[in-house]
Amino acid sequence: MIDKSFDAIVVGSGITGGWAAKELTEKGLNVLLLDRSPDVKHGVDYHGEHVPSWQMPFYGKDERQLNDRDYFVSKHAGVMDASNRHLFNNDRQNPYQYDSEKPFQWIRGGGVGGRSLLWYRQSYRFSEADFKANSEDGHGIPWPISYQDLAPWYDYVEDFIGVSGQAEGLPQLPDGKFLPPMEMYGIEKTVKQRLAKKMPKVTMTMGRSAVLTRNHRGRAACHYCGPCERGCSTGSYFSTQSSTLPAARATNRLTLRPDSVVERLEYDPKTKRVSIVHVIDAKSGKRHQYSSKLVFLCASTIASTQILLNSSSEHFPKGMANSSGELGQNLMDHTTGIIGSAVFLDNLDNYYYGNRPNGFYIPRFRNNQKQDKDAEFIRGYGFQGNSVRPHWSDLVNSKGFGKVYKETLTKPGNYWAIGLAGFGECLPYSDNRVTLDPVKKDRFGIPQVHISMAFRDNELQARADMAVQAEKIFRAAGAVYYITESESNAPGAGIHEMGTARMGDNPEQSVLNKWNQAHDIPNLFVTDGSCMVSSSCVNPSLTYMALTARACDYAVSQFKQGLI
Amino acid sequence: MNRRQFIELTSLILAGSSLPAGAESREQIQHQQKLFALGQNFIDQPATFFTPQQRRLVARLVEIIIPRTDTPGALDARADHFIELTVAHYMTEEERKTFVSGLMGLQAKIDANKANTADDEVETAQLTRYLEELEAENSDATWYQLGSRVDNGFDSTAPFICQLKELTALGFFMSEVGATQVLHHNPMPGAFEGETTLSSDQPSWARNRPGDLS
Repeated sequence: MIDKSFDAIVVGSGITGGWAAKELTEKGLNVLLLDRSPDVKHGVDYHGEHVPSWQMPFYGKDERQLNDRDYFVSKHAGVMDASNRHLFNNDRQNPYQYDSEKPFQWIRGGGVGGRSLLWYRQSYRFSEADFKANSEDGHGIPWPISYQDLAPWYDYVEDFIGVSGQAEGLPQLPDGKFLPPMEMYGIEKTVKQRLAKKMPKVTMTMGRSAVLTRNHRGRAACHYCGPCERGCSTGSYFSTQSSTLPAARATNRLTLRPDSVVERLEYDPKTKRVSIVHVIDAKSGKRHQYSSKLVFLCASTIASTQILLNSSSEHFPKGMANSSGELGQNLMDHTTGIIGSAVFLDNLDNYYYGNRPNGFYIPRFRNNQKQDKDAEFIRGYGFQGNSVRPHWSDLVNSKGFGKVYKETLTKPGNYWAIGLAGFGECLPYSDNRVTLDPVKKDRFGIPQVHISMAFRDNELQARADMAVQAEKIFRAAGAVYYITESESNAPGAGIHEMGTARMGDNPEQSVLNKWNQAHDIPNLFVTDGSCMVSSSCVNPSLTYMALTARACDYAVSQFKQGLI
Repeated sequence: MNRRQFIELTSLILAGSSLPAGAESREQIQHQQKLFALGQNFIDQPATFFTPQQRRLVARLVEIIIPRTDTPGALDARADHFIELTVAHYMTEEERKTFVSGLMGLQAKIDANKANTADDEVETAQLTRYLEELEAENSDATWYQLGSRVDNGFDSTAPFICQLKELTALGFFMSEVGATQVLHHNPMPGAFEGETTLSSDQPSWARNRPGDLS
């Protein structure tokens, strides 16, 4: 029993699902946008926005019992507290499995808009070399597209979402259409100058961020209140709610259905198309069936693959669109974590005004153009950095009591600290993979995903090199004290999970073609991180958006020509 | 605030900060969202954990750690009440035991001293010396190490003296009094400037979260 028919169904309303909904509706299609989570209304449901510290339970200390019971994965995102817990996944209610010796942190959103409300908003283009990396060094399979194929779509996406940043003319980090960059702290300007002199290969630039530095397309410039992850009613950073959802709604061709868990897709062997999307209402438990000419999976890397694996049929016994057998394989995430912290005694008469929701960026400087002779790894990494002028929470362990202690804690500390976090490229490995657990089901009766992933030698060697290079950077920058470490966070903690339904020209090696269209099923598109063929070392969200807009353009032109 | 909101607020405050253990997180989240909507100050809720004697002692201790000077002090910010709420509802059993036995140990010292003097109440100077002794005895604690800082977590190995200092500072600088009358508070800066001039008597900016970068 089909409840309703649409031109297109988009599964997932996060960064890519919002884009698909916008593009498809603007091109004239009637679209059903499904999300498994409750609705989050722009502004209205940002309950913790601008809540002052004294209204926070325990003034912002973690509610450990609640987190340990229900948010034991989400808490690792590091930005969840009482102000925005409703935007995160409840991990007790929505479990997944992993190999016990290989912990994987699958950090998910828990509301419409998904992680678009919670991301750190860093927006970088993959480079020409990133798209060539697999074919040149033989890891994974070649990308079916080049930088030139995606460049106009990067332009298109940046122009819509608004990305602030500084053009640098670097081949490894292509420039985009930028709003003015945010300002560096005085100490960062000092460090930048010293690095330019002593380590000219290392560029230090302002973070390229989907936060508006001036009014843009009806959205207000950032007011620098600080914690973006609580939601932003002025729409000053890109989220589904601030940007793509209003655009889709303006067409009057969008139906948004929250609390809609997609159980599986149904394949019609006669038409060779996906014919039905099976949905379970998360509130009532009732089952619904929707049909459409086009289906876009944008549920996030692991979730989209889970749906395809759970949509096996006589025709596709190993999972829908999986004639290649590649579905679920080649899961990637960046290696992440603090690589070093340094203390500086410069610019002590400097302070700042406003809360900058952004840091600085040191783009890849290893193995550019060709392999560095002293590098024990292939590919590269970048550093994201931030500067802190210590305040009371950094000074609280000062010795003493009374007036002097109070004064010490009240004033900014007598140094600047700079921290560097390393983001390292992860190669595609077929046995880093997602499967369905043969036994365990979730509360809707859907098989849970089982994730098996570990970083390998190349990732760990790159990590070791990060610590060596961070030390050189700190010395060149004039740090008076520094520490470095090379351990990575667990896979998943980068929240850049990618792969598992990769693109490729060869249908025997890949799930999707160069238009994000399933090789096996012409009306099925997957445009979230699962399509990725390699991971680069830059934050991937901007690339997902560009790929989504490009795929929508192709899908609609095929649709209008009657080819899909 | 209208009458209905007032009644709702009163009942929420009486209910305290948390629902019964085991309540669904959805209920807890909605409860918290109501408190946010009503603008309830965290320390407006009652605390019943300490004995009257313990309560008096904690009040004296926080004022010794962060006294009123030309600006308000910890007692003005009700940091003592914040500590009582935190010990009662935030700490683990183990952390709570550390705090309460530390407090009792201090009380025992005071009582022993009292036996030797005619004074009813131990001098502030004497109490400060006790705290200094405690700090010296525990100076090898991880909490005192370089790089250790207050954030949204809690060091379960922290001895009583460190718990006391951390919660006093937190209860002071994150309070409305501390954030707005002692630190500089600007919830809506409207601009960002990375390089301003710092004057010698300028306090830090108040921040949104303990240990927050922004």
